[in-house]
Amino acid sequence: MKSSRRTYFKAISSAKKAHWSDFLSSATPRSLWTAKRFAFGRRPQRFPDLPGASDPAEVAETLLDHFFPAKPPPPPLLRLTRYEDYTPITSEEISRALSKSSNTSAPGPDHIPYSVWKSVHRIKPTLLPSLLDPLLAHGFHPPSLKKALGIVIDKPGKPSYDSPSSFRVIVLLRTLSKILERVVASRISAQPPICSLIHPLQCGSLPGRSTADAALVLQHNVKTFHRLRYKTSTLFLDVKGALITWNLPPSFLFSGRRGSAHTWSSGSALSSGIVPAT
Amino acid sequence: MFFLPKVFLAPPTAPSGSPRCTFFAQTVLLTAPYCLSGFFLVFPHLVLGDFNLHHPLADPGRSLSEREFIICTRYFDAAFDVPYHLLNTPGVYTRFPFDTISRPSVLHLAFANTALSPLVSSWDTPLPSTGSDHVPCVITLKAPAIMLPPPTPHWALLDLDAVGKALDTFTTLPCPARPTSNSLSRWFDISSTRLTSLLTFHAPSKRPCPRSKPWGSPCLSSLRREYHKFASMTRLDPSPVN
Repeated sequence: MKSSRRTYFKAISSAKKAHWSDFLSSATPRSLWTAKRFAFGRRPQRFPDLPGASDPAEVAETLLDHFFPAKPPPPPLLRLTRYEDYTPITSEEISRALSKSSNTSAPGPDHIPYSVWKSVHRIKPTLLPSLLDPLLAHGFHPPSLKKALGIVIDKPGKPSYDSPSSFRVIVLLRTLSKILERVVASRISAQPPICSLIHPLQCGSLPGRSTADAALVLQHNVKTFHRLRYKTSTLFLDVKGALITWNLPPSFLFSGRRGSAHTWSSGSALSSGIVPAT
Repeated sequence: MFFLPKVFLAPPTAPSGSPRCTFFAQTVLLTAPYCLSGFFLVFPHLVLGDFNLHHPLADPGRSLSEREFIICTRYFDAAFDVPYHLLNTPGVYTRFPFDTISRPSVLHLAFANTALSPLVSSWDTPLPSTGSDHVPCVITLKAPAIMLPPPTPHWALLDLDAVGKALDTFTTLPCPARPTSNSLSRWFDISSTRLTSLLTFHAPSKRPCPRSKPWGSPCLSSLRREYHKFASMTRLDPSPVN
């Protein structure tokens, strides 16, 4: 019995070691986090312990109220009109949008990943344009594409986790909605007039620019003013839900006098409302 | 979530209130933050027993000496570090001594971790005495309102040939000529649902893996069968031959 036990557990140990060696030998940069999880274990998830919310349904309701406060419903659109100078969505546009999408990206409520849409588009390239084209032609985004899965994760290093602000929500939209968004985003960025609307220092949501560019611009400005023996200070404002709740004219976000001490420029994360002023 | 709560109890051979039982309960409480690190913290845990500890949280009406307070604080701090939540109703006694000199006290403490505490419905001492000076404590757990998610499609096993044949005959419904927001929304919902249903129909549902361990192998499975066969034989007949 002892030899049987020894043989069995030795075989398990050998199999684990062999599997770990195989995994590391074939590791890719993408599997770095998987290796970290295997080596250090998974951090236990904190269940929100919110006051006044005793069961999961009440916790979900409290988090929804916090992250997505109720807004007045938009006025109903009775009759939709089709844009006269509208250019229909082509299958090439869909192909470009799909080529930028990761197959491992988490899908939304319909659980359909990008890999399936890529296969569908390869088999029948006219299908997705015929499905999405009427929406864009009438300038309408249906409510079913706005439904999302919300994954609540805890922010690390918080002193207490009895408040919704100690958590953040990852919103997973339907992949079909994100394909349509990519098509619209590529059309908007290709429009020449948009260049005059966007501030020259805008880094977020623009192709070829990133957070590193915003940091370099800030560093450049600070060093320039230092060289001129000016006293320089930087004020970062993180306004919660700024772009969601404020009804601002677009000129507020995209305008500013370059070089002025009070120039406002949008930061690297426009959607999160980060607006640094230098 | 794994619902069955892990319950730490005193050893059955130790009578309640005996030094061994008390030592076991206190040791569990002190070592719990270290033993339950990592993955097991998400499991519901219940630690209960006769701790022989007095604490103002459990017995607010009792005046404690400084020494008693220092001793009990150490254990309660260890419990709250996990974090464990005290289930006792403050001031409800669990021990009624037979002699008239001693005071009633709260010696039986129950702690639930964060995963279990939302499921605890009540802690009470409704039952009559069993002849001992300790009264039985009843902890009621309510069933969790958790709806298991339905099985999701295994998209890697999508039958592309069948999907291709089905898509050849698939056409989207004609869009309304002068649509309203409601009619266009309804048209899109119907069209997209028809398409997603077609795709889901040709994808098998995800099933539990035949070998849950990624390092498993058929050889290891046969070895496991042999080992457990010998182990059960040894349990049934613990003779030196086996």
